[in-house]
Amino acid sequence: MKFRALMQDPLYMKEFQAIVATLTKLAKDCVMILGSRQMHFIVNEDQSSAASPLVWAGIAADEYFPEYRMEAAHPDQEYIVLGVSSANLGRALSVLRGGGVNSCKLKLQRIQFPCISVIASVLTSSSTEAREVVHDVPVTIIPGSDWSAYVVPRVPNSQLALGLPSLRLLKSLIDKLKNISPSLEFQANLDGELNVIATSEMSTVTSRFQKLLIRTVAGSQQEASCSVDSRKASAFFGALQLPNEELTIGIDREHSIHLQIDVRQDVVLHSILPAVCM
Amino acid sequence: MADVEPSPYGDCKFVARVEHIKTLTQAIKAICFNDYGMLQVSEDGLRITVEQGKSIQATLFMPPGAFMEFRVQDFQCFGVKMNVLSECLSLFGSADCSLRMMYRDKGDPLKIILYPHDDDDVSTECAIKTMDCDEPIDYDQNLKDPDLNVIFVRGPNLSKVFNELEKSAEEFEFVTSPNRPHFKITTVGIMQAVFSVEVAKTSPMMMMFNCKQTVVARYKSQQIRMTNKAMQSATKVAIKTNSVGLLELHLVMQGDSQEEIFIQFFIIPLLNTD
Amino acid sequence: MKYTLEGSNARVIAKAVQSLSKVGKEMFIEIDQQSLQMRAINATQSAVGSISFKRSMFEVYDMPPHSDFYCKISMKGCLAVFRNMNEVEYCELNLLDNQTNLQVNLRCKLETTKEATISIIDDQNINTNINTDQMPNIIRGDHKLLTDISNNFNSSEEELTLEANSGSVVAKNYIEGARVNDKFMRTQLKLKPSEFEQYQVTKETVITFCIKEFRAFLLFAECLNASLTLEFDEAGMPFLLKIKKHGEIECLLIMSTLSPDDISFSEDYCQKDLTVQDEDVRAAVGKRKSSVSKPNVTNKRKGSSSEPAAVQPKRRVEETQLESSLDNPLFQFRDSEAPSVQHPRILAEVDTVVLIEDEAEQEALMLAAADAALEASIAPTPEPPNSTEVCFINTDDSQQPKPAKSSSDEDETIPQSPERPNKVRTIFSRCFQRTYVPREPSPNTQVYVPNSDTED
Repeated sequence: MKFRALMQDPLYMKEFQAIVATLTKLAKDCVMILGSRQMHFIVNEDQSSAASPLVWAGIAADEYFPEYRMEAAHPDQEYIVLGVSSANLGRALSVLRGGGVNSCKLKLQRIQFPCISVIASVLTSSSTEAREVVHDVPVTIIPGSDWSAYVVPRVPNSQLALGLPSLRLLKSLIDKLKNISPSLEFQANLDGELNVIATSEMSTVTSRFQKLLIRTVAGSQQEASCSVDSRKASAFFGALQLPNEELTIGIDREHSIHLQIDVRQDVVLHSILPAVCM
Repeated sequence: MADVEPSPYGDCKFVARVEHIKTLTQAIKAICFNDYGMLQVSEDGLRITVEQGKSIQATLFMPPGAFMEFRVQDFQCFGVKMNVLSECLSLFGSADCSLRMMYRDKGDPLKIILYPHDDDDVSTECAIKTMDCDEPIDYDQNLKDPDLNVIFVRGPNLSKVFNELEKSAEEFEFVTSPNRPHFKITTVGIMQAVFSVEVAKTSPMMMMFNCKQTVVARYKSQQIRMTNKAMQSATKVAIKTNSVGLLELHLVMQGDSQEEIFIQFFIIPLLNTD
Repeated sequence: MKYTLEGSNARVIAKAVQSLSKVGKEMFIEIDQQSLQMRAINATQSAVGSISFKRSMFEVYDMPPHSDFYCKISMKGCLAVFRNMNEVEYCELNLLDNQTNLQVNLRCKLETTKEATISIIDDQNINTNINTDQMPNIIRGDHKLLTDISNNFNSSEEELTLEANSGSVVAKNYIEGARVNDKFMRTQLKLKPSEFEQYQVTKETVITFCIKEFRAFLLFAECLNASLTLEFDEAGMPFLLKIKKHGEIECLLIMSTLSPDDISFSEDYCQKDLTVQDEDVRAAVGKRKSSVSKPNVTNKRKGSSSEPAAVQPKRRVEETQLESSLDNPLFQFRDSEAPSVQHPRILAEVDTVVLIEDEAEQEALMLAAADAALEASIAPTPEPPNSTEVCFINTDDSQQPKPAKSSSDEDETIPQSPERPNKVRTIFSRCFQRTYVPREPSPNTQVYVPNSDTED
């Protein structure tokens, strides 16, 4: 069992850090699935006592890592699956945020216990030589027999998906709406309109986003709507640390809302907010 | 008065528009210390009054000139939940919005529609339930005496002075006097320490100083601190006390439109126990 | 007595107060002919910080000749006075009413005057005479560098370990080889001598000290834009942090360090050479949390003091130590020909020191429990005659350890330690073993991983 990955481009390092920082804000722990060409992070819905939704990120290794090597424990296995504290991983990677990092290596090794060592070579003003900062993030190795519980979630089939060009107003809105109502109804229609409705005993708040791009239409649906837990929605938007402004909202009527942020071509962050009864 | 109603407002008894909501939002938040607020609309403008117990009252007053558009039929009076109103105004966070406010008639909700300035494709409509209106306490008459102590101070400076008062104090003692100390606030009820702050009447922060008698009165520090938020955004403050220490803080806030808006606090002094 | 400062100097004093407030809940002020000193000691009495301002910083320094003054005031009150200093143009300190009150008068912009009267709790001082001059290892670095180092560690971290040798210094949040909880993230930072302004490590050493107080002083160095000098010997010996600015401000933070003695082993893995008392080790300040060297909180009362000793009747007056103290007295050490006051500390494995954050009293209770457990678990070793011993002079009976009996008294009975409350946090357990012994591998770690790359 071996895993080793190296990053060198400051832009990619920052982006990778931002993805992990987003997960850090969502839950204490996450699952890392290391494949031969792909890396996945999953934050499970039930894992945290907070109102955190299911969120996962898929990262094509070539995008970020000029060097990437994974050997599973057995030749017939395709992955290494690890449980890791997202808080620790986030803190270990936080050095990448500032820039001035030459390179950053991730390495699975055993010290007193298995861990992912994050080895950053940092340039400082006080010296011409780079300084080495090492964080050993403890991990739990999840044996192959348990993998069925840790599969990468499937993107649901939305009846209607709309592309929102800017997250900014929605983000602040959702954060405030969670104080008004425990559930939010998302309504989308073929005119490219999205309504978010919060209802409480004292008020009804209807927010309207118009002229959105229509990404997917399944069948002859004119519109689709779904109500979700407002704290879960707010947890997802509140956690976002990525610079991306675009968001795709897919509505699978009666089942769930799928939120997707394309960080780049093969680096995608997803979340599923399950439907709640109104 | 409007004789022909334009159609978008239908048969609304009260319609108002504000181009930038920042000051209004700040003002509403500044008086949000109790759940229930009383809205009174007349041709004079809009008043929102919040009280707590019988010892503190705050009134936000916006004259018609502070609105882009202001139309009212008769005198309207209704109650709303202040936190709901405040939450609705801040739905878009720091993004600047324009606002339209509508109220049809007794029993109908107050409608507030926000339009963010930087995105024409987004809007939010809030329908806030209204309640029956109580009568606010009228302190104004008590402060009509000719021999009040009156001080006008620059808002940001006074805000700093208030802000530096030790927060763990239970009470503050205010002294206003024609002689030294002209204006002094002392903390009461801190273990092992006493703090005070004194402003000379010649200080550049004083815009007017007119004290005829020495008035010493104590107030709950918690109530004085309720004025902090308003003080932070005030340009000018009038401090008035009568001989028994009834305190009026009259704050002037520069609205985003041409005309100023006002917040008036009345605070009842504590009984002198010593 | 009256002391006045110009606004910017007063702002420096305010920053000093803020830093010291992160060390202790009480502020000790001492004024003599040369300087005004402010001191604070932390709750576990493992760190004493002192900041001294030379007479030249003051405009008026009205100190009657041949006299000095010291007092204790509440840190909270002090902090409240010096909270917001931006507007201050002039600051006046007055000792009022037969020295029962300290009055601070701040003249601010716009003809505003702030005044605070803080009552003096006691005329008490803290005092040590650790020799602060001759440490074998001296490292001086810019505050930015040290802040950079400290920022790599979590704010919840308790302690910092430095591994220093002539070629490099490694900052870590763990001790190499000590058992670490398998949820614990180890962090290390390797620094080259070239990053420092001065680097003199003549004695290779691994030293562990408390990071909280270190950070408090780092903050002050940042405000002075000054360098910090770290001076230390070996594990168990005091660690010093010094800051100097223009010869007018001098800061000294003395911290006790984790002694190798205090790393406990289960009997199976006990290494022989570690149970044998090493003289140097015994001279050590002792472990931070349990076998802490208590600074000499000595009650120095003026004969003229109006308050009788009844204010704190339990305090033991210790006068002889004071006048003989060295230049920078903080902890009290002395040669002990006499039997030791404290037992040498060897913590048993079961003895994890527990404490509740920010609850000094609870902490004291816990310490007492740990001490009792400790004493119960060890066979005291005879005292080598000429070792230096931490002198334990505590003025508060509630914290006073039992006076040691003859150290060879093997049958000493010790009362049962009090029960620990449920919500206590265990610290240090990871320091108690030098080598990792994988006794019970958890089911999830069955797949033993070879290191991913062998290249380094």
